[in-house]
Amino acid sequence: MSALLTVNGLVTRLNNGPRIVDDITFTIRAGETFALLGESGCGKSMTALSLMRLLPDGVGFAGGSLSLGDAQLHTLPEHSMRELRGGRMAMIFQEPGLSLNPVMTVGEQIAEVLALHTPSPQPSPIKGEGADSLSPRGRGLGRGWQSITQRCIELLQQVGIPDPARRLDEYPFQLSGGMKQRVMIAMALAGQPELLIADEPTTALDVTIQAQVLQLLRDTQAREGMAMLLITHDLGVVAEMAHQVAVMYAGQIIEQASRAQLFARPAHPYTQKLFAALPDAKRSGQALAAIPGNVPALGAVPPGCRFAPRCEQAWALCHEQMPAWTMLESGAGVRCHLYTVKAGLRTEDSVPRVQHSALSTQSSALSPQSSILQVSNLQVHFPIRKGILQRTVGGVKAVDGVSLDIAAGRTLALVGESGCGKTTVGKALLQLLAPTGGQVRFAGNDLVGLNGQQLRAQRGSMQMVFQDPYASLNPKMRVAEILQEGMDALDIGASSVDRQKRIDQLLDQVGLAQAAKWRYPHEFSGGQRQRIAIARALAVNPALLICDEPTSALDVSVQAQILNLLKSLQRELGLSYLFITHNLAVVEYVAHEVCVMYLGRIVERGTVQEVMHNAQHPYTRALLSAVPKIDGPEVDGKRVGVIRLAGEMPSPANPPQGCHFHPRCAEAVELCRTAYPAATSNTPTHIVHCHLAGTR
Amino acid sequence: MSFMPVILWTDAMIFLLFAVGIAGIWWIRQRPHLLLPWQRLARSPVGMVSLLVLSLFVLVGLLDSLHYRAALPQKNNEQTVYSPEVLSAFDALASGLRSRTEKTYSAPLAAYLYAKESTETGDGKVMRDYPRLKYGGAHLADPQHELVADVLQRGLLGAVAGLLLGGLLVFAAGRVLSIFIVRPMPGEPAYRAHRALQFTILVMATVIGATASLAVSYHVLGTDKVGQDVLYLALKSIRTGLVIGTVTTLVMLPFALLLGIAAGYLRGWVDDVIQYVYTVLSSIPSVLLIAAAVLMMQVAIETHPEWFETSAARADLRLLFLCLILGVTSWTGLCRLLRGETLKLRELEYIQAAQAFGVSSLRIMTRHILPNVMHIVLISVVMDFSSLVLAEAVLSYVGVGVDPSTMSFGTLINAARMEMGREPMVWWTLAAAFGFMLVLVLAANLFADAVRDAFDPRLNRTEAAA
Repeated sequence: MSALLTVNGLVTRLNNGPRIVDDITFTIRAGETFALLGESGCGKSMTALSLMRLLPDGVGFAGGSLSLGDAQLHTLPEHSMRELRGGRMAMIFQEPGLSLNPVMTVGEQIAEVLALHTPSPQPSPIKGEGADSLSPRGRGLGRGWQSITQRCIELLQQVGIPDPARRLDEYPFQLSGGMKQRVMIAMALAGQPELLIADEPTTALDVTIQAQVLQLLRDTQAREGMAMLLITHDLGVVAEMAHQVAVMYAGQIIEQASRAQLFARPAHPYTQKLFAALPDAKRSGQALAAIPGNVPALGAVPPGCRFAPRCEQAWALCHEQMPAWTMLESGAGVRCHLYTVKAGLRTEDSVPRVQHSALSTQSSALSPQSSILQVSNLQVHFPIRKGILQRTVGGVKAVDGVSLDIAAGRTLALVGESGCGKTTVGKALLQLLAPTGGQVRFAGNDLVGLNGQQLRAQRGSMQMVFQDPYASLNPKMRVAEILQEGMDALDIGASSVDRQKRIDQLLDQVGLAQAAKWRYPHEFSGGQRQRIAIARALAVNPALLICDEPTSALDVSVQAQILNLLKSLQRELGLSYLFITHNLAVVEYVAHEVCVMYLGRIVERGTVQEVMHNAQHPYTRALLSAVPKIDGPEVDGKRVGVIRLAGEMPSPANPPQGCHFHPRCAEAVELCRTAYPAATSNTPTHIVHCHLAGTR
Repeated sequence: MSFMPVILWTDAMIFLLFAVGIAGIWWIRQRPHLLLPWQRLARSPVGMVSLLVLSLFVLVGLLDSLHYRAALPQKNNEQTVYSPEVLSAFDALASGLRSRTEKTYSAPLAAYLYAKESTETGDGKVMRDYPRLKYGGAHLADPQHELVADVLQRGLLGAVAGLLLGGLLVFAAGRVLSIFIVRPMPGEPAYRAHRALQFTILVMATVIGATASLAVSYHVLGTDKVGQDVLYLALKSIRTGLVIGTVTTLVMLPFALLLGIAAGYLRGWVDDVIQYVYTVLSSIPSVLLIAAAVLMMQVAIETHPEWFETSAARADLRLLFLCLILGVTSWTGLCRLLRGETLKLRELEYIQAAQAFGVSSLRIMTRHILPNVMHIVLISVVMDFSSLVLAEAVLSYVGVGVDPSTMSFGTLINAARMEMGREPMVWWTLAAAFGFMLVLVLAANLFADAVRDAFDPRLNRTEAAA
């Protein structure tokens, strides 16, 4: 197959200053998926935008050549470029909620693309009727409009939207996230592109929806034979989708190989580290191989190899000279001095051999102690009010009868998709939201219904670490003030000298320099900010930390640092964690026990072993199988045994009758539609809410 | 004593504000981390230049706030009798401008009146012609031919003198600076601001020099209907403008800050009540509300003449009340903005983290929310400044503004209403008010912009990291 897209020496720079994309070369063949893998800020999105010539202001194309088939993208005049965009090449973006126009119906948005790019009988669609039918509504029911509507329906059908004729007249807010991404894909397909650029197409979606969208992309590619440039930070997605993979770091491609080669034998130390930094059950006793430090800032890239400051295998040459692109015998390419010196010789022993600094494995084998937090039948309902009198006409049952037990020094993971109420549980436990019903007993004290004074006495022992480190620190306060706030509020430390000492000690504990005290949060990277947030919580000596997706906003290598930190803190301080997450790989690594939530209720709970390896509830099993795995069983490039869930989570304002999960469950029987299943226990620790649990 | 100091209400407020400002500067100087943004501001050329212009206005305003009553020559039972007229230090400095009144309109730098008058010539004939001014160009024998040359000569001389004085000032200031702090060298970030400041001082000294030199024998900006020098009126208006801008803001800020943040943060019934109040308040036509309040106050003042010793005290109280009323009616806009911003902020995780520590609501509002909405406050206050000055003009037009004896931009603009319709048109009063207001408001806007930039931690990343 000939190359469809050839990128040669692409350079994109910021205001003629630092290079964001630095000398990138790759080719994509027709029908092939090429994945650009990298952490945030490495320049992968800028590469895509350079291809589309849609770079933001202040960033400019600064060299190289881009060709799509016979078209030279970098020299085309803007008007022909406009025909290419959405036509021969199309792009879908990360956030489906932001890439659709909220005041246009789905049909109008797709029709807009069709009108521009349909190879219609008219010689030039831009000048002819096509331009006019941009506003098809105004045009009435012309012949062109009818065929466009027909094509819109076809496209929506193609991307698996049920009842497409009706959806055509709906607005984006009437669609769910997964649906919106499907509409985006339909719009991209409307121009019958030869190349589809997908920029993190599933990052904002839940795993089960992600599985649906990835499957759709794969099917579409197989049918249309288009090439795909997939931009992602997720190794799992790469493993499922890609044929060729390029790993980007600080603006450069540092390794390029076929998927099989890359996953079997990553060559570059950075790639090796990325694999090693992925949390999973096999490593739960050990520290993750976190990559120290951060991606170098733009304009501050080291003169030699860009990864050298973080690389364990770096030697003097790495710091002085930029390694050249080296082709290995296997056909893969790598930019690393390890291969330039003795080209190819070191491939054999450069198989990922990461020294896991062994943590004491005893820690995870702690015998279950007395429980520190007991939650029984916790309910949080938000009333829905209507009318001028604001009468309550119903309720969103965000949390509907959740019971938990966390033992001292243990970690309980609360898993579920977005909207299942897991964050609400966390906030209700902290009494940031008033529970509607149920009991929260912490260390023997009932927390529900306490007044402000009594509650303050309990505040110190339970703290929260939030998801977004950029929103969780006040930008106008310095680190010392942030850390001191809780101590001031709860009267910890006798004098200000004591408190300052404690702040120094906390910063040490979370691995930050003491000089950080006098800085403002914006001077820190995401990982460092999360460390500050952890230190803030620790400042008041809590016994339980509620971690609400503490790593989901972080890159893989930084995620590993934070997970290691949390584990070591648990070992040193005997902390208990309630770990709220949607990332099942993290669960396996950090948790002792797992609760799976669906629509405000816990559907399955048990130890990590029981839930992750012997899941009884069909939802848990679907969740587990939907996670893209880097080493899943494959047959002809497709993984087997994947349970694909149909549809999406219903609204908690109006949950289905009977078992909440039955509309999406493949095994549902008549009983499931009428009655909510009671708890069935397999073992003393393993509880499932499913009618079929006993029968399997 | 040959004079008796008089402290009017607005004087007291101005000096209080000034003292608070000085104390604030002293307080900040003790704390390096608070000083940092101001040092950053000192490196911004636009910020420093606009600050210089602003401080000239403030200087005039402050001088005009030092009021006194001069002693009269005659004595009453060995007791000094003071004149009923309240003057200010500025009046004393510009006594020439104040006292040299013509009969009626005269154009800027003119030697003749702007209106024809019948004069009787020596031979008993009555002639209608433009008479000579009493003061403007009175030293000229034949203004028709000498005026331009004389104006140019005086202007140039004044400009050169101003330039020399400015140069001296820059030199002296440089010397003083180099003794106390290190003088910025070329290439340093502060150097550009330093240079811009020097340049502005020279330009302004030149302009002021030329104006002062001309003002001795001409009316630089002409005269108004009753022959008062417009330059003097405009300079006197500065104080009124500053009082209306700052005192109104002082009255309005506590309402807007407290109610806006409380409504956004506390939600519930507090939010309902506050929203209800400001929605109702902003649906009342504000001119009517203000007119009603001012008229009521006017009646009260007129029925109690014994409250006031001088007419200046009465005019001053009217000004103060106008500020209070404007303040009470103008907080709704900022309050709504702050409520919206607070609604957004209160959902942020750092607020929740503080709540999880059991930090009290008041402390969260002051420590977490207030600093994060200050940029909105700063910008909208400066924006409001110009609209307040204009509001005063509108109210003067309706007849409920400042006391007729108080000079303000509003009364100047109000006067221009008739003058613009006159044939030939009298344009200089409006032009003077326009020019002074433009410079004042522009300087305030630019300064606020520079302050905002200096305080935004996100814009100052690189420097802080260094």
